[in-house]
Amino acid sequence: MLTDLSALNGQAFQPDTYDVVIAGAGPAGITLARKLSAGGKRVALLEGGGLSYTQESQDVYSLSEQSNEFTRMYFASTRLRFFGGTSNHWAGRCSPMRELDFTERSSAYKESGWPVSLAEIQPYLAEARDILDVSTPEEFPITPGTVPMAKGFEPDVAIISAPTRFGTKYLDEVQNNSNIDLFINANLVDIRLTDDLTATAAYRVRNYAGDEYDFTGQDYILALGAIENARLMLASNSQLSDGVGNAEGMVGACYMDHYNITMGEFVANYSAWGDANRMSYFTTRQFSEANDIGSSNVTIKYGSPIKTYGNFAGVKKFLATQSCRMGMEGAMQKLFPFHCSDTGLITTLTEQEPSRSNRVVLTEETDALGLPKAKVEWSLTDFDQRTIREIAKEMAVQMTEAGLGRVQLPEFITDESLEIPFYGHAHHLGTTRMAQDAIDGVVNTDCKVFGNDNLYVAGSSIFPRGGGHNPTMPLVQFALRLSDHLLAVDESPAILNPS
Amino acid sequence: MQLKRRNLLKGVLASAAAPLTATAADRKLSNNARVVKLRPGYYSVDGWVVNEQELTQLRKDGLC
Repeated sequence: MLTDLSALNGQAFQPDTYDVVIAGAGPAGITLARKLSAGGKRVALLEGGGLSYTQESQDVYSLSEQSNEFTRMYFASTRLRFFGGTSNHWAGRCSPMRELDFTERSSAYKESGWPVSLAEIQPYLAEARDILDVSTPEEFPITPGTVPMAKGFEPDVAIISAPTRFGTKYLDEVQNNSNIDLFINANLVDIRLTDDLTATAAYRVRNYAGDEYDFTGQDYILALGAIENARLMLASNSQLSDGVGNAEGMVGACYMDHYNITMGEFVANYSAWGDANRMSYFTTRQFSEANDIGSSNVTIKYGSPIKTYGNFAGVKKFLATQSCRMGMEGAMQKLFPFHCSDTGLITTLTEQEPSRSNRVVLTEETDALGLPKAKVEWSLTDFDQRTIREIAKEMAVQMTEAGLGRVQLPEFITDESLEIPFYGHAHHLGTTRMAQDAIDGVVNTDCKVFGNDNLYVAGSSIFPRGGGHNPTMPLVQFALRLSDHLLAVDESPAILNPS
Repeated sequence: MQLKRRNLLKGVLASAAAPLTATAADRKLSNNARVVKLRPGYYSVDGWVVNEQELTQLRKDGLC
């Protein structure tokens, strides 16, 4: 059943009591709702936006003006706030987690790693692949034509999904599922706790007219994305001044993304490339461990069409094209960024260190719902800089040894006094990290919030490490695992009253 | 000097890549190029990656 809270126009409405109340209808939330309902649970699925994009809903994602312009734009453009969530503009790359991601490496990382093993996640891989429409081929393929390298890198494996738009694929199923009640324009604004503060008593939900409704259940799940999961836990501070699950100050900490950096350019030795113009690699375990650095996907490619952005993009493209023909790209590149189509590029998806200095915090500014706006503190650590530079240097050398072309590294790779310009991959990770105890994280190995008996978190905010893989498929795996946990726990009806 | 550098680079740098490489590298290599050791036997010269023999040749010809 679908209920639009904005269409109630102030009418009295008393939600049912559910087995599970899920806030967030993106890949994690929809996966949980489907799996839990299939197991017999009655589920309320709360979506803050509607069934399609509205500016009113999207504006709730706006970061505080205290964030710099780059950060505000980045987080405004890399999330979507309507049914299906950010899968509505997902690129679709699915790559598997690796054993190294789950290996404790205290010499490399200051923070704890995964407190579970890869073996605990693997049983959910096939189901996640089915959900993401990447069931075939059975083995994750390499990029055709990728030339083996002597050391440092191995061919990366990945499957590209159609990509799956969860809102489109699953709307009919969710609406017609008698065990799921879907509520849209249903914004979680407060996590209400029991009088003894040890459990969740209700999700307080508000529509855009300001009408409020309390949704109650046996268990509660936050599946709002890494920024919003932390924001809602921190903002729910009327009963616990530091917010929910934040006794150790870990909510919001260790925000991560994957660094998206052009690590170099090259002139291809075309004869060595055959029919390929793109090769994809992954750092070997030995290379990462020997250098105490993170993991990374590295893609080398040439022949990409010239792209320009911003105002007068058409004029810029014309000027860029002409300057490439005339060998004057260096002069023109001082005016605006572009690459000539025959310029080879070395691009990456590189692991970021979990660091408490990178975090989501609240500000005094509020959004239309009255919630404090978030600020994201995000910068490179020494680990990150070492990872980026070592990978760039090794790739340049390996490409040279393999005869793939003449590589030129940017100055920020060879001069450590220079800042590394970075961008992300729209992979928002961390902020409610999984750990053995509350000193190191926010949720335990069952994704349950420390200090709260029935509040769980789903999505990539639980990742204590980012690895060098895309996060969507793993986050679906973890959502399936959480579903199994909730289906297996004691069914005793301990419905709690909101205080 | 420009001609000399171009000819040299065609001989040296192009040995490991296509002739186009030398042209592209030559356009960007400066006379007082900055040399950084990357790995044993590999260096960057103004960012361009060269091996030991190529670096030796470039130095012999006063290009870095």
